[in-house]
Amino acid sequence: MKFKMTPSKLMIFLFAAVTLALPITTIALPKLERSENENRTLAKFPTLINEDKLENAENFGEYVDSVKWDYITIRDKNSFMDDIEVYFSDHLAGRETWVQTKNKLEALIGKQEINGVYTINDQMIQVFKEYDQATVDASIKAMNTFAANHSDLPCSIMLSPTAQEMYFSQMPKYNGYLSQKTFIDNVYKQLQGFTTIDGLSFMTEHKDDYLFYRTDHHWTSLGAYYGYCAAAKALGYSAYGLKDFNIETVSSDFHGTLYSKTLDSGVTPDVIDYYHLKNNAPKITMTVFDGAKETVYDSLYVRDYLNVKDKYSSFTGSNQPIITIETDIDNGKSLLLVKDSYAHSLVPFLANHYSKITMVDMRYINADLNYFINVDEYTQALFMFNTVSFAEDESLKKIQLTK
Amino acid sequence: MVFSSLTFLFAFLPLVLVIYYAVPLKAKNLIIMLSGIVFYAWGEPLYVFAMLLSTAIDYFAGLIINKYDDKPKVRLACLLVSLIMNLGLLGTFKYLGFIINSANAWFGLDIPNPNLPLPIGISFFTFQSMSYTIDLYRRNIKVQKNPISFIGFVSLFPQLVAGPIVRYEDIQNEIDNRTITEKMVGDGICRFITGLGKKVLIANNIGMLWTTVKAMEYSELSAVTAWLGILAFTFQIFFDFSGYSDMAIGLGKMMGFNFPENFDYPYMSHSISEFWRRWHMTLGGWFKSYIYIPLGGNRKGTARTLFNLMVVWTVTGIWHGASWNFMLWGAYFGVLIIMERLFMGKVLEKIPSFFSWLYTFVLVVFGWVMFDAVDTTIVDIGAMFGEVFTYIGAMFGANGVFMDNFATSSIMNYGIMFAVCILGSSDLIKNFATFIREKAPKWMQYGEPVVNLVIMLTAISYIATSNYNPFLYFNF
Repeated sequence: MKFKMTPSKLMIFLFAAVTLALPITTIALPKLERSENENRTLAKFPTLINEDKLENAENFGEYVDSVKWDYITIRDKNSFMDDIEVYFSDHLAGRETWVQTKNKLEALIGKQEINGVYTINDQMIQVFKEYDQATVDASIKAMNTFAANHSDLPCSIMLSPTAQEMYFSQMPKYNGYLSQKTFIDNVYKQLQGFTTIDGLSFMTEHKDDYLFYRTDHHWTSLGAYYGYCAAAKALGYSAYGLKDFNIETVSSDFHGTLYSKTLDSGVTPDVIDYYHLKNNAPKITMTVFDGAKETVYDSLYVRDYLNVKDKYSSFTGSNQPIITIETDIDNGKSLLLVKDSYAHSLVPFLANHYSKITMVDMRYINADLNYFINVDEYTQALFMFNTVSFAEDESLKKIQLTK
Repeated sequence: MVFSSLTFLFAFLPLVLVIYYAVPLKAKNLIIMLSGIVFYAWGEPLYVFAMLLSTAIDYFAGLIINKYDDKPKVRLACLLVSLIMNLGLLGTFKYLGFIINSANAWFGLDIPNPNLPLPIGISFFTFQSMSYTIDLYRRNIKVQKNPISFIGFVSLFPQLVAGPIVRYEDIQNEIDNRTITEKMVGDGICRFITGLGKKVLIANNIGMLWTTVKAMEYSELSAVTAWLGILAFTFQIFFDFSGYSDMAIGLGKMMGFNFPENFDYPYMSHSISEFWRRWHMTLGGWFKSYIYIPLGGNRKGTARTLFNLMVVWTVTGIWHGASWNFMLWGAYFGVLIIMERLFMGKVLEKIPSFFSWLYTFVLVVFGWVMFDAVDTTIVDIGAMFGEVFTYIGAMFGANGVFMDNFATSSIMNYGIMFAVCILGSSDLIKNFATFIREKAPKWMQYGEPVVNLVIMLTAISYIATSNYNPFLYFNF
């Protein structure tokens, strides 16, 4: 019998091809543990036995009692059936292509933000639209307490803008984007005992330069340089000029965190530069304390990270509780730097002026700082955050524990 | 398991269909029964027994009704057992908590609420199952002696949890003897993909706008925001529910069943009565056959007709959920339909059709405010009316703001989506397809499968990547 194509046969064939090929490919493909591009660990295949609960249970009856609700209803999150769906979704063949397709379509039907990222002229922007005032108030109160408790320690604060502020006038007002200038001014007004540093003005002067990565939420080394210029004044020394640095380009293929959110390959990948002082570059010893052990480096850069996706982490390594930088500059000046990851590309500039800098990340510290370091030993303290992370950070309030 | 999940699309469905097509006709009902149980148990590993219990009782009630054909009392007793059992299940799981909460609030009592989670689809399968015993009692249908076929009828997974409400009568001939043609399967796939697209690409998308508006303070909404919000829900519920029905009908066709239609472009209606003939048609049909007509329908005088209408609509309201706002929503339509019976119907026929459409659509939209803008745990009826009027007030500028940034933002971000919704709620696409089919039949024949493939792949990209995937009608 001769095969005759009909519309029904075509439909059946197409449907069968998709519903059979996709699961078979998914099963056949090797399973990744994490998605580098999305920057997250992928789900493991769920097991019916919950080993943690099994270990903790006295006997099997108690175990059954402790897990029975895990399997009862799909409306309970984390049920076994939900986990299967999540696993399937995480490991679906061609997952990144599906994500890209969806995000392209979202843009096509007029969605101006994809996963909290607004893209304008080859620049991805992490949007800043809302924040919790109570969180900000708590941080301010804690910082004021800290400054009062350490009246001999000169404290400064620098809130850096993010890319949104550079493009603010070009972004649609109706989407409710917030002015970071207003935010920063408000915070500065309420702080007591702090020298406030106006990083924003320095940066807006150079807003057409490459101050922010196109695909990442951080500032570039050049952006950090202008932050450094602003900070230097307040911290009592003059900043080196741009021409004093040798610029080493270490990557021109950096896909940052905002790329992870959109997987939009239409935006040009980023260039990462290191700024080395041409003359009298200090000798560096960097000690990274990850909460358990210390690792010592002879540079501020951990170049191993240049080989993975998360290349920004090559600045002083990834986020860690405490990083201590000692130099051969013998000027008796030491800086306590309470910070977020924006400081990682700032510190290569600051390091040229201190014999010791200690970077503290309150997100990873749950105790009195004096438990790890002696706060009063420092000659200066600088609080350095970008606006968005400062507005959202709930850990900074822990600083008031510090006696 | 929901149709728009990867687990269903890429594990359950292909596996079941391959086995279903491979086995001989005699074994197909066994596959239907087993797959239905697995399908249900995947979402409700415990309550699957409630479903099976309801099914078992109706099966045996059917056998006895049939056997004692000449003993009216036995037949009636069996019918009552079936009704009490089904309504009892529904009452316990769906309404008990609501009744206890209301009684506690009103009379200052302190009866503990067991807070039973609602078994998925209980409102649907109890109604399907009851239709069998009632029709058998009325001698409209023949008894089903084969337990596999009967359980298969109830647990037939395409229609098990969210309609259409398929009555035994609708598919009695197909249960034991059906032919599956290539055309049916092809058409079924097209229908399924249409529904998948409606649900995943349209309903979920526009629904996000409503979710945002619903979380805002109603007393601060601008007029445009309030309209956009409730219009978003108006479209969300239509595309969600009719999408689900399309998927169910499509899956039914793929397995050799012809389910009744459930939606017929309801937003094109020119009166509320017409709207309800085109919205959730199988539910309307069920209430008409089993409540309205037994109560006497319109044959016992005007007063009785109006009373009967009010009963049916209040019950329709409360069927949608155990809370006061659903009862209000049902009663609201009861009143509107009574008004149309009495005089409004004649007015609507005389005025230009645009105005009768506008009248209908706007009143339906107000209905959705009662349906979904209110916190369903409310037991204080005054507070419920307060919320409804605050929202409707906001739509007419009661908050003093006509337009705000949020409204502009919503128009910019959802404008295209709204256009798609309007297009999809009208019969324009259908008419266009018919036009092409006549002018260029070849294009249509082969274009349709390709268009469907694109819709399916697009839908997969959304399913695979979004966590936002609720099915509205699962809660009813």
